[in-house]
Amino acid sequence: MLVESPGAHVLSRQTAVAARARPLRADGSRHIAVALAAGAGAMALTSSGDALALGVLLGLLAADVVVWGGASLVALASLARWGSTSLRAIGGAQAVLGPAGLVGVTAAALSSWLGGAALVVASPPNAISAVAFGLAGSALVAGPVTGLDAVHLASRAASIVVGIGAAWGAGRWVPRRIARWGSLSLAAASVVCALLGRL
Amino acid sequence: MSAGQVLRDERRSGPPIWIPFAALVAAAWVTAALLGEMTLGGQSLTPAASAAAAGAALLAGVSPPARRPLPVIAGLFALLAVPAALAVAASGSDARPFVAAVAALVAAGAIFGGRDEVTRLRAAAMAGVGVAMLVATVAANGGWRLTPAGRPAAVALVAAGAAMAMAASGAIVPVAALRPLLVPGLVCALVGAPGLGGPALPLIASACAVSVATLRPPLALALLAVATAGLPGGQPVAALIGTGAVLAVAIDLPAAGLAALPGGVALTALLTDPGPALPRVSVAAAGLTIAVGIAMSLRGAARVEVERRRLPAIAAAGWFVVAPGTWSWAGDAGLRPYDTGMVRAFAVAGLALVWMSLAPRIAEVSAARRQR
Repeated sequence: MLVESPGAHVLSRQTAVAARARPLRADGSRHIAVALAAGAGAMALTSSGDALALGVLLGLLAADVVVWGGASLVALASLARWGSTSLRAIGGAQAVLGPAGLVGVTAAALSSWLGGAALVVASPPNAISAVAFGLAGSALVAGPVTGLDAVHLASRAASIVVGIGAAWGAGRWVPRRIARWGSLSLAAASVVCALLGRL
Repeated sequence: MSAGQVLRDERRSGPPIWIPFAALVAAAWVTAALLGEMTLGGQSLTPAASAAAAGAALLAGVSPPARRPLPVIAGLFALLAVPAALAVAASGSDARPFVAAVAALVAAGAIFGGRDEVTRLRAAAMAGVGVAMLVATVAANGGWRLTPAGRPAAVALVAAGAAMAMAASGAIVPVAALRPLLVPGLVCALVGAPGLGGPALPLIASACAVSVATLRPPLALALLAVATAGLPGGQPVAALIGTGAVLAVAIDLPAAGLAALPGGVALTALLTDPGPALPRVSVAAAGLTIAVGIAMSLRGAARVEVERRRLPAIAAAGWFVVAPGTWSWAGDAGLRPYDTGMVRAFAVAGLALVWMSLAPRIAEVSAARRQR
């Protein structure tokens, strides 16, 4: 008589967490994922809209409350640093002062790096999400495209490539559970650093 | 709506023409709001009042009456008379027709509200208490207008609004026929809130919002709107949050909570303004609790069935979420950057959807040409 081992069909913890964090594609809703990624990417690339709204789009794209929470905390960190959640205001400030990750007091610059890292790490394990999350992260750290200067364009393009690459790599190699909660922790640290930068 | 969603008719049948007629009435009031200050039957109507009437018509439209003479008459009364009386009263004119209309609506809800008798009468009783306080407030104002004459009247007006909002949203079990009471309730509360002053209203309303956030997110949104109206400069933001609550009740789906996004963004900016910390912290905590509750409820939104009677509300919600700044009646809530970004995101997302729909077909045609 063949007897199954106990728990034969129980998913491993990581697989179960990954299944819960899976984007909305199991129902054939790939179109929605592409639309959300395109919309979020457009907002990040053009630095238009609101950071909180961008956080909602990213949370919907990841279909994950924890990712939404991290993205919202990053938006609040931007509010603490720049005094506004408007992506246009944040991008405008970077256009004048320079990339957020390189200007200001150490705590403030660190806040932007932590926020960018939080967005990049939160990316789900697929290319579509990596583009959206990478664009958002690079916009937060490096700022928008503000001119046709070759050096500026090259640096901005490099930041986008690095951001998307890091998001894709994080989705591929970082265990999903660690990525989700790590992203939330990085976002919370970003808020703390932004507040410290105002002191 | 995604690929997994299916349109179907509401099983509880109403007159076939009800949905398009109700959509037409709501669209007419929206047009009136967009046209700005206007005069109707000798009465001056403000854009905010017209928008409130549109919300009341929208809520009446999602509850088709049964195909019997008296329920149809009651439904038409809720769809036509209540919004008109609300618009007149909210514009600062005579509030007596509004009071009479709301009282009649409560009576109709008590008789034709469906559900079991205990639930129906319980909700009607709660609404009746609100109406009674409304009558007392309006009567105390010598000109029979919807403006509180003093602090006690403001308290009564806010309490009346809260009671009507709770009866409409369903503190325990929602009664569909009383749904249109939500907008009159919000209008009364928002009109009375500035007359209170101090931290009491934001604190109490925030606490109430937190207590119902997991049970009735739309009701929590309505209470959050009342709390926000008690903050300095909070009226436009309260109107946005209240609009989100009305749309969420009209749509009645897990994803309907997204209608609160514009209000949430505006509220975040408002809370950074200088002022007393305690009421702002309480409102922030309530907003955060509601946001987490809405986010958790979206987990079950991947596959839903959309009823045809909710399509007008869904269309209105889509417009509101993408471009709330075009709803000028809400005042300047500082959402212009939000509008720009969301319109761009929506446009790019639309292009992406079109491309994904056409790309397989283009690939087929190209492959067929290569084979020739």
